[in-house]
Amino acid sequence: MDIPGAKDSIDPATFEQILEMDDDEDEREFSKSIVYDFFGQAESTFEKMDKKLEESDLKTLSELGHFLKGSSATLGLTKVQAQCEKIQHYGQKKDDTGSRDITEEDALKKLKTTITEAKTEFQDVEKVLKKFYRDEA
Amino acid sequence: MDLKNSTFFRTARQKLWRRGSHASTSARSNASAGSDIRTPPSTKLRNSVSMTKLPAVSSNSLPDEAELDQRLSKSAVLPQPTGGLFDNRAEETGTRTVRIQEPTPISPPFDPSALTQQDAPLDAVELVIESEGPSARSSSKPTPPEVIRRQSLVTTSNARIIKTLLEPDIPPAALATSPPTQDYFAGAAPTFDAGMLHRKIWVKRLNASATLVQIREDDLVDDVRDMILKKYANSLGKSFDSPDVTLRIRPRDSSSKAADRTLGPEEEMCRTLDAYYPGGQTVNDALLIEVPQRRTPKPSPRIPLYYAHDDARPTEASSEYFPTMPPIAHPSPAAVLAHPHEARPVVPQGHSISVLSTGQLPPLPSPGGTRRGHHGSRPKYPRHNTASPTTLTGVVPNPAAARPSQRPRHDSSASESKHSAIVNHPIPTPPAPEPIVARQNSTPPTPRVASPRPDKKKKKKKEVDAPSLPAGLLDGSVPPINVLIVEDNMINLRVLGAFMQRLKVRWQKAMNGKEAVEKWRAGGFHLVLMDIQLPIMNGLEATKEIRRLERVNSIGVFSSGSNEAPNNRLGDIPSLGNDADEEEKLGDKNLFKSPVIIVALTASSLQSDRHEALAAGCNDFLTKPVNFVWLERKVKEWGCMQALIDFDGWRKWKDFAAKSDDGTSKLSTSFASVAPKSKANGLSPTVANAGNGKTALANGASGSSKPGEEKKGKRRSIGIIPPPVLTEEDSASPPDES
Repeated sequence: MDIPGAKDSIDPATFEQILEMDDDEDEREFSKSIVYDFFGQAESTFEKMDKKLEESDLKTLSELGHFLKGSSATLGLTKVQAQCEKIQHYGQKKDDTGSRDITEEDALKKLKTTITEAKTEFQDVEKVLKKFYRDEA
Repeated sequence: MDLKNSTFFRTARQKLWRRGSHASTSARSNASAGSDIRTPPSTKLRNSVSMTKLPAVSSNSLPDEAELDQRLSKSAVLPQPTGGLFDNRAEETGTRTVRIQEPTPISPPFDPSALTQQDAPLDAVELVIESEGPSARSSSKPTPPEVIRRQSLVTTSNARIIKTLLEPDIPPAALATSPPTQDYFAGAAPTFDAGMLHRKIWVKRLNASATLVQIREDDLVDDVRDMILKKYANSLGKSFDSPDVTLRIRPRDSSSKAADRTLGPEEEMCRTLDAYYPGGQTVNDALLIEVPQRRTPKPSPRIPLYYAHDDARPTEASSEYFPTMPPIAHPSPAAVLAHPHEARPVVPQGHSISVLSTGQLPPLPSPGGTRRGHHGSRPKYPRHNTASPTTLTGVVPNPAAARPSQRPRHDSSASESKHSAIVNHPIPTPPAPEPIVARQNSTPPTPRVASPRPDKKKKKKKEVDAPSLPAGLLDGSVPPINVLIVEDNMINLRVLGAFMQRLKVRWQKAMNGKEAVEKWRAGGFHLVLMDIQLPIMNGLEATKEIRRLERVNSIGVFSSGSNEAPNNRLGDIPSLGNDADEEEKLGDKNLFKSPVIIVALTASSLQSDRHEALAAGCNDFLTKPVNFVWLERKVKEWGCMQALIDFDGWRKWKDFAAKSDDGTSKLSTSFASVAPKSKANGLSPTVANAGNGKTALANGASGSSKPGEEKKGKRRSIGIIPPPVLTEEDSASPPDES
């Protein structure tokens, strides 16, 4: 299953196993609903992230990052997943690999940029996926 | 003896002969279907009642009832009528009397009115024990072409009596002159058909207890073998054909020079028995059943070895019917000559080997017939065309054509028809071609089909280990387990739930660790897919809590084995009861027969997280994003474990599945004794699996090619399942403190 324009952002294997659960390859009812649910989930999560970033709530930011990481990983949205993992680590005041401690200030700074990157990645993959489902439909 | 004056005889006769009872005859006595019927004069026949009452009926007139009974019980009582009715040519030698020449029973015209008018003392019918063997022969053999066919009303013990009663019909004159066969039969009034008579003989296997086999009076040894196979349907019938069976007869007088003798298939069973065992066969006289040692490919009947063997013993059957019989039983050749029809049995019936010397067709199974590969439909006693071992001991085969023509039945057709339902009499066909013989010889007698319950689960285990199999083959093999999915992310939950649905596994969800514990306490779960990072109570804490509650409630007492488990299930917690608060006690212990399997879903690939999960009490883990191939493996793996442990629950599952698909039905599991092993096993493969799973995910390629195929097959087979919709869940909301 080729998804145009999703060479790096979507892990084909993971996403295909979602597509495989579609009963109808034309309608793709199940995967489409999952993906579009993820869109809504991601947008609301980013809103909360922005809010928590203002509050400098690193712990919640880490949880939000983990949360979105899980769903994006399930869909194979690797780039979003990678950014979310960074958010998770930064929220724990660790570096992007989670191995080294960083200061809270450094963490907040990195969080701000990472959340922005994550939004960008998400918007990119969202376009790809929406195009994919529109084409499919 | 004055027959006409014998009330006893008359009564018996009336009982025996059922006039005009053709309906019942045809219905119940197809045994004698092969014989012609000659309707007797109607005046001769009266209503018949059971012959078993015969002694009682005659008791009033019997001078020596006790004596009669004693004779009757021997089942060897033959009348020796006085008064010149019979030709008493029997030679009496003490107790063993062998009358070789039995008077030919010809029924004279018989006036029943005379019988009814006169009452004669019973002693007019003088019952004298005569030679059993010849009498049996005489009674069975003279089955005229046209005989009244009657159904057998008598039991074995009464057979003699009936004969006794019937034979007086023979006019003395005719007997004395030993009439030619044609005359004999032509003049035959209704006589008793020996085919109607049943008799039981004792047979046994070596060092085994004897058993009775019912035969007909005129059955040949060959027929007896069929019946023996019927009796020994399991031990012999499944691997031997009746020609393989040999019967050995042992004279009572062991000091006699004649030792055991193998009966030829053509011998008449009852006659032989009577000759050997005057007074009736007892249990100790049981015929010894012998079969070939083990079925090894036997040489084709065409091999000249058999020729030589047969030729080596030409004298045995040439002139004497009972070659190795005790001298006392030897018929004199003169007697045989005097009664040609009696000499008939001297000529043995040819058995299958006879095709070699006579060209007669042996009873071979039809080549390439239905037996080939149709073990289910093959006759109960499959006939292999291996050479009958009786050939070795044998009597020179003779063509059946050599049998006297006066005997209408050439191969015991009466018995054949009687047993036709059970025994497939071989259809004479041309000798089977050599290849067929070889094939059948090399074929094991009766290949046993594997048990219909093979190790189904083992197979599944194998399939789990071989994921390269198409998923379509695996779909039906997912064990019937109840899965609790603990996942806070709605997206993941939906995907996992949909996949469980696809696997036809019932599942429930829990959105956080606390809910997971609560749902688990409801019972009935076999497998928990536990996300680690959860709100309120994370997966590790929930796992620890579940394990603690299991320990407190003594679920899956690891050390004490399953024997103690039932007590614990009943709520009796002897040692740990104090530790368990009322709130911590679980409800229905039947729903907690085993520790639940907890598979951690770790988003992190860190080795430390895995170890932490295992330390918390998880049995296994999967790395998110969950690879469905691995997830399916885990579900099958652990589900099969549960099914292996709780086979009863497994078997009940189909009922459960039929009743409830809502995922709430409880499956019983009990693998307390196996739990430690499962836990120990869970550790080592866990690491490897998780590593592999991650590799597959990271590389993408390895996970894409094969899983893709599997998924496609899966969808085809599970397409009926609608996509799961979790309506009651509020939308996937990220953790929010506020």
